[in-house]
Amino acid sequence: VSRRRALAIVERAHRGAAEQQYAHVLWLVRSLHGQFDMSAWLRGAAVLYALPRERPATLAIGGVAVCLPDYEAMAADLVAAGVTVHVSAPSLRQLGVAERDLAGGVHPAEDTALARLCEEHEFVWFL
Amino acid sequence: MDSSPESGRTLLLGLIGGPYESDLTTTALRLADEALRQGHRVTVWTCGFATALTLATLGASKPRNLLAWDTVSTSTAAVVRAMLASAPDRLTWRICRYCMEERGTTAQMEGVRVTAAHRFLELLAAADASLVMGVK
Repeated sequence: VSRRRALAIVERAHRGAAEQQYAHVLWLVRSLHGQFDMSAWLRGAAVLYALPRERPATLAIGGVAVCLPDYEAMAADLVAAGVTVHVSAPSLRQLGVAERDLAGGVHPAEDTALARLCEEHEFVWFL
Repeated sequence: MDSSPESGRTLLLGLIGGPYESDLTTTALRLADEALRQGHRVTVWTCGFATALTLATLGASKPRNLLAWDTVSTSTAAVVRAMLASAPDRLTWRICRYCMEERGTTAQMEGVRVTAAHRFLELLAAADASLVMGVK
């Protein structure tokens, strides 16, 4: 049975490191991929999730370790799991990020491609 | 700056914005933790949904991570509890009573102080420095 296709549009980034830890929006997309054939469209500051980075350091507050979100690792996991990750090229330009600096496997695209993607997916979710 | 508890200054951090919106809460926690580490006194005043950070019902850890079952993630309540335990005489974590009741976040954990809203200005006046963060 083929899974139904869903497109997650993510534009708000960094929504609470200490609160979310692992449970951030890319984790949600990865979790949903078990039930849906997920694609992601990153735009706005969320395009920064598609940049390869070093693993974030663990934060200690009050002597308690707080694991910071590892967005970039999860973006790589999405690609590895078969989620098509699109990255808004205009957003990259606005932030001064070169496409060549993106992590492997993600797809920079002009915003005009978004309308076609919406047509290709049964569900479009703003997450 | 002298870092002994006796000479430390009093810092008031107003955490007005809601959690899960930005890295505001993380910033506030880090500021408070560092100020305590340097020997200062800190009062954290939470308004709006920031009052939910210390709900007793949060328990010690977040729900299990379905993608990494064996990992444990600390709840915000546990983080605040640890901060209070590390500096019981120098950290006060206050909950705006009005916001708490408005949001229904009344099941607060032990150790925090539910405080009448009008006391905010009084605490502000008593502080050597203050920083109010976020938009209610």
